[in-house]
Amino acid sequence: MEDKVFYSVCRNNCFGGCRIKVTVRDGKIVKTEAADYPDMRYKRICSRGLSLVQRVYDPDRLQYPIKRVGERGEGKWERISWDQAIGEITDSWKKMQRESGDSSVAFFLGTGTFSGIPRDVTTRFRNAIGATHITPVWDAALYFGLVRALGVGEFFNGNEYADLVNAKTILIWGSNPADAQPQNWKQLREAQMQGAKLIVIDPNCSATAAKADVFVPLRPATDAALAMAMMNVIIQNKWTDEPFLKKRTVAPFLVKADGTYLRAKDLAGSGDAIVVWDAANDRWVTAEEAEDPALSGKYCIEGIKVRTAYDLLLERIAPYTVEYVSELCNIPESLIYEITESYATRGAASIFYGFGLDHYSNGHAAAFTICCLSMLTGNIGKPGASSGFLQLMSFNNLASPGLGKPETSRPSVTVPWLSLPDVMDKNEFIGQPIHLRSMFITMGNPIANMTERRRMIEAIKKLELIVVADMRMTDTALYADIVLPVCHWFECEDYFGSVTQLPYVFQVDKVIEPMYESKSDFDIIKLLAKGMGCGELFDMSEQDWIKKIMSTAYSKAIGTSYERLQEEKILRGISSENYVYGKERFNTPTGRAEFYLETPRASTYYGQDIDVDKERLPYWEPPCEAWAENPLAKKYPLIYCQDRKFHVHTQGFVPWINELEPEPIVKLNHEDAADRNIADGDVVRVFNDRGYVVLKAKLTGSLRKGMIMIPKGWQQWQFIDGHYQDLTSKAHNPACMNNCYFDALVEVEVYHGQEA
Amino acid sequence: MRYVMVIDLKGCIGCHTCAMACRLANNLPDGVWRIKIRESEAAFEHPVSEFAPKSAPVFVPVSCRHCKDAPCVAACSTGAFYRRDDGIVAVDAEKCIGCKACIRACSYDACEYLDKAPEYSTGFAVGDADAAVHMQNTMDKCDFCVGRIDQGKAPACMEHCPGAARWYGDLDDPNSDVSRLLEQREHTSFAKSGTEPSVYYLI
Repeated sequence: MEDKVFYSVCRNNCFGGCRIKVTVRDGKIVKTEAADYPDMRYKRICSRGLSLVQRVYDPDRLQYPIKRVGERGEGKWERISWDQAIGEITDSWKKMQRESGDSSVAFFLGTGTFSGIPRDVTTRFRNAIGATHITPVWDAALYFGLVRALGVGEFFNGNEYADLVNAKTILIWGSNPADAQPQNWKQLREAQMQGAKLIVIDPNCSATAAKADVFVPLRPATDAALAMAMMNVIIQNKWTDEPFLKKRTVAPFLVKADGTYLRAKDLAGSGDAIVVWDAANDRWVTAEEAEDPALSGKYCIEGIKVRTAYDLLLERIAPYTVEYVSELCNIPESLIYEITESYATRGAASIFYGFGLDHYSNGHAAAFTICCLSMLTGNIGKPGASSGFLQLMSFNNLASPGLGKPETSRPSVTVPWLSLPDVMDKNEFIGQPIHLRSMFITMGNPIANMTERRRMIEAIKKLELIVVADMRMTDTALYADIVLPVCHWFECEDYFGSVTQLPYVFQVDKVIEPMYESKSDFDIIKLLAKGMGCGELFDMSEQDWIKKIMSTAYSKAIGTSYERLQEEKILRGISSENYVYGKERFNTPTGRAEFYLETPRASTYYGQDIDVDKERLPYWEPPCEAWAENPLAKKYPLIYCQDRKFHVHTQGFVPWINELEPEPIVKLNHEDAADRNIADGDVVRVFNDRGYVVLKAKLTGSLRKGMIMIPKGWQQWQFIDGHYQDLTSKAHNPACMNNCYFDALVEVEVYHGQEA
Repeated sequence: MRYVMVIDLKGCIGCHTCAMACRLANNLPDGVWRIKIRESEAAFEHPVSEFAPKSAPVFVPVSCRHCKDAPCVAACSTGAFYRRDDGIVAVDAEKCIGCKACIRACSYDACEYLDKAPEYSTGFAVGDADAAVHMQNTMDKCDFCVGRIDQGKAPACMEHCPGAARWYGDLDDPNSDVSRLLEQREHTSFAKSGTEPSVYYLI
């Protein structure tokens, strides 16, 4: 019996989305390997991708729909049929929407399943019934900071990763790809082998930092301060790219006292064109007409006092001298000079960002400020000069009419997850009444993966009906009333080409039939939609949907088509080879890279005010909790942190991986452990006022003193006691609602069975 | 023709992709790894500050060294262990009686004794179609994926390393990758007792 080969994808969402070659022998999946790409530099896989066979045949997979019989969280279930499950769910939803409005039913669509069709059709269904959209608000700060600076294009706002080899210097900032994204590390290592200098900026000596040419072990959450000191070094040494600043950034724009730009309509001209000062001719001109606008200066134009945005930037960064920042960030002045000189003077330089920056309450300002650093030397929009994030946007049709937004959409409300406790208490959101009665949670595990777990459990317990769709029991499914078994990724057909960091769109084969009674997300949505009376919106096959996706204007514009996808299986998903973002234009309101924001807004509005003046420019402020000067630090002196290696969030618990990482641990610095009489392998209790977790300690010299590190991905039943997500806080910066996972202080002690 | 492996310690990030690829391709039983990644810490000569980390993690992947003068081959009581002309040291498990002479002879912890009946958590054989059958009371070790080599394919561990840290080839060919790397880079084979390992580590 010949082996059969299929092509699917790894849906873990490490941001890889690696194409997987799946081998079937005698009807069983026996092997997963890296598949080929048109550009073989992208061929890759990791230990998680290689152990996927064990996820398919996981004995703990949910086999049939189950209904809660005990208390929420008790874990007692009875088996029910699909008919009963769908019937009960949709009868409840119809009743709730009749009684309490469409918004009483809410959908939470997580990012734990990297997918095409499942995300598309779940969104389509949500819009069809006007259900409330619960947004995850995780990873919000990195995105928000970078999008404010550079806007978003078809591949988000960086250069494709194969471009990294063109960089002479790469700052790996707040990221540990060697552990978390080996597929991206591969590109960085290739660059290093071809002469790129890798500078890793991280409080801890991660596996990535261990490979750095230069390691910058700064104090946690001080990244924006370091970036501003680097900006000052660049300016003092005249390493700025003035033509770039003048033509491609908002630097020469003239800012009025009210913070907005001076425009032609404010003056003798007309129209919205932003104006700049033409010093050579002593007059104002529109930015696009200007040949050589002034970068600096105070002007009074027709009675209106203005200053250049560049001068406002210089003013904002002035206090961040090398001397001050060396002290603040706890790194030598010489190191700040050294990395700035490397970044600014060796040729094309890229910044590779990670979510380490994101997970503090000052994260969006960190991302924004670091991106502004790249604007000073013109290290954006060129080969080897990338300063953004990657995510394929072009086949993201969640909001597209006829696709994610069906012809018969009902209006809906958006409520961010972190607002749930308030919304469940007050039945109100931004002054509007809303009575949430049911939530459908799919493609994610928010109770395990969001901050302040205990608080969120209390919030969702107030719902009358919680429905979870997943492959396995999870921390979230534990609190559900009905759990629907979703099939494995290899058991359904799909296209893959949205949210991925690969520049490709590809066909995903159905390798084997869904096991047990599990169903694909698409089939589940079809059943639910039928029960809700809008089944006709989903009366199509996977191939029908893929045809629709491949028939958009964008798809045609870049030369892809359904026929080509069927024929070639994998197509380039962006408009150019050697993709560089921002070669001619940035997709910001001004078309330029923005270090100054004319009208800054919050990333998520939930009725709050923001400090507009502060948000206009780069800034640094301490994180809201994880700071030694915080009085709370007297009680809880250690900063909480997490990393990941063998799991991706709560996915990947297969026997092979479990042999490598058998149980939750907390990594402690040798000195911190000695201070607390903790030896390697001791069981310890990590705690603060919000909660505790009990697990084994592992001592290491690669951690910063004053920090602990708990590898991510564990769930309630895997800890000796407690849960690490009970330690974290939902507090965040009002300008950027986010799960600030690392912004927490804790203490650690030897565990003797003491009560919480 | 002399097959050797070259492992670049500047590239190894301890991700275990090689170990997992080997595990899968060879359908290794539960608990059995042919490749192990030894993790240690290298102290910084000058830590940047009082609070800064004092050491960096170091990863060294280890497995059978396919020694030129293989003590396991010499010690094997049944001839189950043999060295091919191309330098690969392989095991004919059918001939193995589990006497463990090879374990006593080897300085590199290359061999694992399968004392239990092999169990497979998947419940069925996975990996390559011609992966060896593993038997209780026999020895298991890296065999350089001889099956793949003889089909002109790369060993499983060589296919996907994200650190570009694993290389193999013919040391007798001066133009091979391995010859080139050993010429260009400082290396060691961590050799013990004159066994002349065929696995070199670039340092």
